[in-house]
This record gives sequence, structure tokens and C-alpha cells, in this order.
Amino acid sequence: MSTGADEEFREFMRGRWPAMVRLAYGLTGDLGHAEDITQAAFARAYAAWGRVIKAGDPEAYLRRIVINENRRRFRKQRVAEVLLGVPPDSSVPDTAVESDERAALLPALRQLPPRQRAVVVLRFWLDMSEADTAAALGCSVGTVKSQASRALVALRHGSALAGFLPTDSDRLEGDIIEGGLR
Amino acid sequence: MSDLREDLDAALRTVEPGQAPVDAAIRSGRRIRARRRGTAIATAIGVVVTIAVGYPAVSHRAAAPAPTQPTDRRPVLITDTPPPAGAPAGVIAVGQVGITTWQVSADKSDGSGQAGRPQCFDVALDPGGSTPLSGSVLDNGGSTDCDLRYPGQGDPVTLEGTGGNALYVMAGGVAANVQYVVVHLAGGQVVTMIPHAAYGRRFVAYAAPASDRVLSATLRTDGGQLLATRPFIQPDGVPVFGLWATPGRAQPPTATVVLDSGRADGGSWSVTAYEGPWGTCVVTAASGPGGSSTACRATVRGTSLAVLGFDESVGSMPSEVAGFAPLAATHIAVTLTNGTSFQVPVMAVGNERLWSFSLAAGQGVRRLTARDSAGHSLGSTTLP
Repeated sequence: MSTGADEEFREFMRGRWPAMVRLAYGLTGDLGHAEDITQAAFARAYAAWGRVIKAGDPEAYLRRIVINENRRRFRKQRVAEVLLGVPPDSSVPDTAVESDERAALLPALRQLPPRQRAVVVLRFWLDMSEADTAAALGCSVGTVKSQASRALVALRHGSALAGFLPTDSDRLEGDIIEGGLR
Repeated sequence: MSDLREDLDAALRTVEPGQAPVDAAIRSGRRIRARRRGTAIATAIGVVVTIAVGYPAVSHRAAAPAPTQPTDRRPVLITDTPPPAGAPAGVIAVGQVGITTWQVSADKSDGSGQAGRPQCFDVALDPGGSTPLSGSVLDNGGSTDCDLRYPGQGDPVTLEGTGGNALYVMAGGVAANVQYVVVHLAGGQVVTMIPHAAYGRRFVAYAAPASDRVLSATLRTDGGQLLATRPFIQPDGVPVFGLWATPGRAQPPTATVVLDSGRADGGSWSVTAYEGPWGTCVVTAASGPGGSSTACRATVRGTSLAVLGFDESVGSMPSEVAGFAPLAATHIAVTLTNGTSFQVPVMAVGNERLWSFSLAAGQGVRRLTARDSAGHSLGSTTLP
């Protein structure tokens, strides 16, 4: 890679690092894992920087890598859990998280199973369509719908978050609300 | 109404990441790119080789610290067994290296069971330490490689490695007629791998200390045939299992030749060819963060013009192109994509004839022609 391209990558990484870590945090619920995943994603982007630039939307490219890295991580973790039946780490409050009332969403997110958490982040934070979410997570659209539905129910009933979450009158797609929130 | 997206956005903005580890990401990216060279090499061989004796085998490793020297010379206990009953789908082997437990799984999602598709493996390690083995958690200390190609015709086993400076893990596919594979380590231990089926294919895996070199490996087929190999040991201690042959068969001589070298990025780089019982391996190494990679061709004697490897430029490091030439060739005529032409000499490495040259960033190769001392063409190829 030329020195100019190196500089271009450095500038891109410095600029997009916080947003990508936040995405990874939303997916993992753990800042350490999030930074690991994000660093790995940027390394992959660097290794293919020519293609990334050619693709025209480096941020979208990187976002996809972050999501894929997270999928790989969960695949491995699942094997370990099945083998030994060790419960996952308890959700220790992150010191990096401010005590903002809205931050109550984060612990609630962490309580969700990985796929539900990923659906919430992709579908409702990144505003991805059901089809795109399904493609990104390697599952069917039906799974996205059901996982979204369960996740919203869990979030709504899991803590004092009701005020932040959609109600019947919210304009979410009917098929997501159906069977979940109604 | 409360907007979930806005609330999520606000909540996630309270997460304050540390400083972007730009240099670390670039170093890792360079290692990834160095590893990808191996894949590019495999493709190039498939396209370019016109006459090949034996079969191609490619392995690659990113730069890693030198293997640690053992402070205790007592052999580390190594075990390797098929997965226990009830293990999750895809697990192909489990075992121990001292107090470290490991497990290797074949990954279904990346083409298992489909010829020509890459195969990923998940490696789970538990370093042990003070934690009792029986109750320890297998964490994500391993990594996934997705570069294995399934054994082809006459190719009994293909193994790819991954690991660090203390331990490495090899995993791969075995042909349908292989009963078992045995690895002999310098420390005196013998690891026997029994193939295990997953997703319609048969696999083997083992783990060993990086400091305990592999001396040789043998395998036995259903028909009672015994095949053996002596691997090439890469700079980080991970072996490349290349040329499998019946005992007593003539092997290539051992020879080492530096094909090309230079300085860039404040460090040095070199391209070195190693011929031996494994076939021929070419190692591209840089003293800086550009890493190193190994590309091997498992042949007794190559007789054709063949491109062994391409290497993208890293920083101010040049791209490297290396390959084989017919025995009578004295030089390779190179035509670049910008129309420039030049010649590079062919060098003898044991039984083989090899060549290598570097390219500045942005340059590409259009055509290679092997010529003898009289200037006659002995073969040429146009690169995609």
C-alpha cells in the first residue's frame, strides 16, 4: 500500500473508530470484545484497502466486516458453552458507560441473547431492512421478525425501560409488533 | 412516542471507546495480506502450470515471534483424540498440550463438503494455568483459518496451521482411504491422528508446542500403503507438509538460495528458496511489520514455467513475484502491464530453477517468457 493510501486509512480509522466500536458494543454488550472486534475489522479493511475504496462506501464495507466478525465470535462461543455448560459472563457494569438514564438501555441490551441483540441493533439502530438484517446475520427474514418481536418484549418487560420502547401506537411494522407487543 | 432508534443512539453514544489503535490494525492488516499471498499463489499455480510433477501445496504464515525456548526440557504431554460422544457437530479432534486443552471444529458455513471451496476451522484453547482442566472454560484463544483446500487426486492429506509463539494447531482434510496420520516430534513424542468425519468430509487436527519441531510424518491407507513426509519448518515453527512419498523414493536435494533482497521501510526484506524433501518453499520475509509468508510447491522436480507467488506491496516494500522455470532456462523475459520489458536471471536451487523480481507499487505483470541461453522461448504465459 502506498504511503498516501496508508495515510488515507489512518484518517479513516481515526474518524470512524468510535462509531464502529459503538456498533460492536451494541452487538456484543462488552466494550473489550467490541474494541477487539473493531480492531480486527479495521485490520481486514486495511488488508483489502484498495477494494474497500473501490467499493465506494468504506463505512458500509467496514460495518459489514464488524457484523461478520461478531458472527464468528458467537459461533465460537456457542461451541464452548455447549461443551462445558459454563454460564456466560455476568453483565458487569462498564465503567465507560455514563449513568445517563438512557444508558439503562445498554444493560437491557446485554441481557438479550446474542441474536436478539444483533437484530435490535441492526434493525432499530442502523435502520436496516428485515431482508438486509437477515442477510447480515445469515438467517431468514422470519427469524429476524420473531427475534425482533421477542427482543422488544424482553426489553419492554425486563426493566424500567417501558418509556423508551415502542408501544402499540408506535409505527413499527405490524408483523414485528404482532405476537410480541400486542 | 419514544423513538427507539434515537434512544439507542443516545445510549450507545455514552460508550466511550479508547484511542483508535491505528498502528496495531495496520500491522494486523499486513499480516492478513501476507497470509492471503498463499491463496493467490494457489490460484496462480492452477492457472499457469503447464507440466507439474507431483502436486501443489501451499501454506502460509504471518510473521510471529520466534518460538519460545523451553525452560524445562521434559517432554510436554500431548494427546490427540477424536471428539467424545455428544460433542457438538463439527468438532473433529480434542486434546491436550501439557495443561492446555484444545479443540478444533470444522466450520460448515464456508464450504465444507464442496470441492474447491475454502474450509474454515474454529480453534478453541484453554491455556490451563491454575484452573483445573476438568472445569475450565474453553475460550476464544484460537483463530479461524479458511484457507484449506480439500485433498485432490493423489493428495492424501492437506494441513493448514495457525498458532502463536508458544503453540500451534494444524487442521486439515484427509483422503477417503487414509486410516491414520502420525506426526513425529523432535521431543520424542508421537501424535497419532484418527480421521473424524464432519459434514461429509474427513478431517484430522493436532496441536503441539512451537518449540517442538516436527521431524517427520507418516500415514497409512486402507490398502496398507505407507506414505511419509519430512516437512519444511517455517520461521515461526509451523510445519508445511508438502511431498508425501513412499519410503525409499528419491527425494529432492536440500538447497537454500536467496533469490532477491533489498531494503525498504527502514528495514530489510528477502526472498529465499528452500528445496528439500518437502519440495520447494519460497519464504518472503521482512524485518519490519510487513511480516513473512511461505509458499510451497510439492514437486520432485518442476519442469515448467510456473508462477509460485505474487505479493502485494506493503508500505514502501515492493511487490514480489517468484516462480519456477524449465531446467534449460537461463532467464525470464518480463512484460509489465505498462508495456515495460526486462529480464531476470534464473537461479539453480537444488533440482529446481527459480526466479524472482520485485515491482514498484502500481505495476503489474502481463507476460512471462522463459528463454534459454540462445534466446529461444521455452514457454510463456499471459497473466490475468
